[in-house]
Amino acid sequence: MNRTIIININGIVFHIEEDAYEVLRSYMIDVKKHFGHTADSHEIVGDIENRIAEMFNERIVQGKKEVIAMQDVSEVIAQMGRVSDFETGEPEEDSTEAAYDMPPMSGQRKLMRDPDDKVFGGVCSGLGHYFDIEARWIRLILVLLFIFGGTGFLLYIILWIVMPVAKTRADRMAMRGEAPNLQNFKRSFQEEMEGLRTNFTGAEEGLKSGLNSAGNFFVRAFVVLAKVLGVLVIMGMCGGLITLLIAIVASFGFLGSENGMAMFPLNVIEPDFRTPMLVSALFVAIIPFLALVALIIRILFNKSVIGQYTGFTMLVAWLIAVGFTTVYGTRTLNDFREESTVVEERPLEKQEVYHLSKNDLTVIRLQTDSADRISRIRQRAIIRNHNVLEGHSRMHMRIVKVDATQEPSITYEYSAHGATYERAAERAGRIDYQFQQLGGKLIFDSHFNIDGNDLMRHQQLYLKLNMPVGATLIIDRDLQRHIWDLPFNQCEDNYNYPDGDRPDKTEWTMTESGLKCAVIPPPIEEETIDEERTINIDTVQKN
Amino acid sequence: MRKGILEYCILSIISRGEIYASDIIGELKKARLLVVEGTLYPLLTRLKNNGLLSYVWKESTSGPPRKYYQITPAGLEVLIRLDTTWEELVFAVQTSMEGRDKQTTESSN
Repeated sequence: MNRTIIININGIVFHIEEDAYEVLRSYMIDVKKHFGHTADSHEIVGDIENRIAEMFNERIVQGKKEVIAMQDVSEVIAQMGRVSDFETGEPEEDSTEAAYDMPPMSGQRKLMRDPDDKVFGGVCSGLGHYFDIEARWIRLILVLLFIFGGTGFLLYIILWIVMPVAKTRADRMAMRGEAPNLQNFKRSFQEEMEGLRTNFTGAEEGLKSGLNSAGNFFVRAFVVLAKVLGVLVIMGMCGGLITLLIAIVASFGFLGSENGMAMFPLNVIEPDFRTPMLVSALFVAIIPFLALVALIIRILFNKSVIGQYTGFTMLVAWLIAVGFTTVYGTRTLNDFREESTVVEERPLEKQEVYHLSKNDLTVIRLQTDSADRISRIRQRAIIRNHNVLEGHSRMHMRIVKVDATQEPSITYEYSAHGATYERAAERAGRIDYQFQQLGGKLIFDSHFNIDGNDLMRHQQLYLKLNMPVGATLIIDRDLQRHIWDLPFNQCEDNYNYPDGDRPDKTEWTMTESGLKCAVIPPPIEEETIDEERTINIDTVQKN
Repeated sequence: MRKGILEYCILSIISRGEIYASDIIGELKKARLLVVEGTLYPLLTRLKNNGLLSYVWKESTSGPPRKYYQITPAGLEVLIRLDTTWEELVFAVQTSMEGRDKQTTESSN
C-alpha cells in the first residue's frame, strides 16, 4: 500500500506515489537548477514538463493503471536523461558554461537542518556540517549539556526553530559548503541514490572508513573512551531508573494512598487523585530517562533501541502525564490561595504560680488507662507522621503581659489555607489541639493534629498565654523550643549551675516591662562584665 | 563539434516537415546520434530563438497539446549553407583520408 499525491503538470492531473513524487520533484529541481542560468529556462523547463506529462499520460491505462509509480518515474527520467547527460547537448558558447566555471562558494556554509541524518530534527547534523564535525559529537555534547545543567534541551528547541530545513539538493549542498555546480549536483545525487540503496545504514561504515583513512590513533582512542564512558553513563542511568521505579512502586505501598495514612507529599493531594498522580509522576520521571538512555545508545553505537512509533507513543504518554501533573498541580496550588485564621480565647483559672509543662505527643507512654484511648490514637497519628510533620504541626506560643486587674487567659490562633476564605476557615477550625489546666499546672500538647481526612494545607497553631502582672511562671525545659521571644539561655545562666549543666525548669515573673527571669544573676562577675560592655560601647560611640 | 552536427541533424530532420520533439528523438536514435530527450529541448529553444525554427501547438488525442516544430525560411537558408559547409567538410576529410589507406597498408607491410 502506498500513499499517492495528486500533482498537476501543465494542467493535467496525475496521481503519483509518494516516493515516486519525491524522485520526480528532486529531478525537476535539478532540471530547473541546470537551466536556471539561461534566458530560455522557463520555456525549456516548460517543454520538459510537458513532455513528462505526456509520457505519464501514455503510461496510464484507464481502469487498469491510474497511478504513476516509481518505475514509471525512473523510466521517464531515463528517457529524459539526467541533468548530467544534458551537458553534451549544451552549446559551448552558451553563457551557462561560464556560469558553471564560477569559483565554488566552498567555505560559505549555510546553517541548516539535515533531513537525511536526523534523530529528532537534524539540528545536530546541521551543526556538524556547519562546523565540519561529525554530528555524533555535537549530539554527545548536547546530551551532556542536557544532563549537566539542562540547557541542552532549550538550546536544541531554539536551534530547531531558527534553523531552516535543507529541503532541496541545492540547500543540502550549501549546507555542506559545496559549490552548486553540475558536477557536485551529480555527485550529490549519486550519493543520495547510494544512500537509498544501502538504506541509510552506511553511517557506521562511513565512520570506520573515515577513521581508517585518517589512520588517526587518537581519534580512535577517543571513540573507544567515549563508548566506555557512554556505557558507564547508561549503566548509571539504568541504576537510577531502577531506583526510581522502586521508589515509586514502594510509595504506593508505604506512603499509603488510603485516607488518614498518607505521608508527605501525598497528604497534600486529594485522596481520589493520589494514585493517578503517582502514576503520572512515574511517567513524567521515567520516560525522559528511557529516552535519554536510548539516545545515548543511538549516538554511540548507532543502534536504534526505540522504534519510531514507540518513541512517539512515549512522547504522547509523557505529554499527557505532564499535562495531568500540571493541571492537578495548579489545582492543588489553588487550594493554598486563601489563608484564614480562627481565633479562640478561653479564660484560665487564676493562680499565683503557674507551672508550664509539655505533653510530648512524639513519645509513646505506657498508658493503661483505657479512658485515654483517644489521646493514644492521636499520639499514634503524630508519631506516624513524625518525621515530616514535626516541623509543620508543632505548636508555638508566646507569653503576653496583661494588666494586674485582668484575668489570665489563653488565645488559640488556628490558621490554614484553602481555595476560598470560608474553606480555609473551616479547615482551620478542624485543627485539633489539647491544653489542660490542673490547678496551677498548665499542660500543653507539643503538637496539634489534623483531621485524618484533611489535607495538608499549611495548618498552623499559635498560642498566646495572657498573664497578668505579678504572676509567676515556672517553665519546663522541654517546652522552651515552643516559646518565642524569651531569653532562656540568659536565665539559665543565672542559675549558675556547675559544669555547664542546665536547670530542668526556669522561673519567670511577669512585670510591667514584660516577663523577667526570676533568678537574680550571681552578683560580682556578671556585673563587671556588664560594665566593661557599656564602657566599650561608650568608647565606640565617642570614636 | 558534435553539438554543431547535432544541430545540423535536427535542422535536417525538421526540414522534412512538421515534426514532434519525441519523433525527432526517434530519428536521432535511428541515426545513432543517441541523446536523451532533455538535451533536445534547450537546442530546439535556441534554434527557435535564432529564428531558424517555429512551432505550432497541436491538440493531441491523448495528453496535453504538443509543440510541432517546422523550419522557417531563415532556417532553410542556414540549412542550405550548412549543407555546402558539410559537403566542403566531407570533401576535406575525404581528401585528407585518401592517402591514409595506402600509408597504413604500406606501414603494415
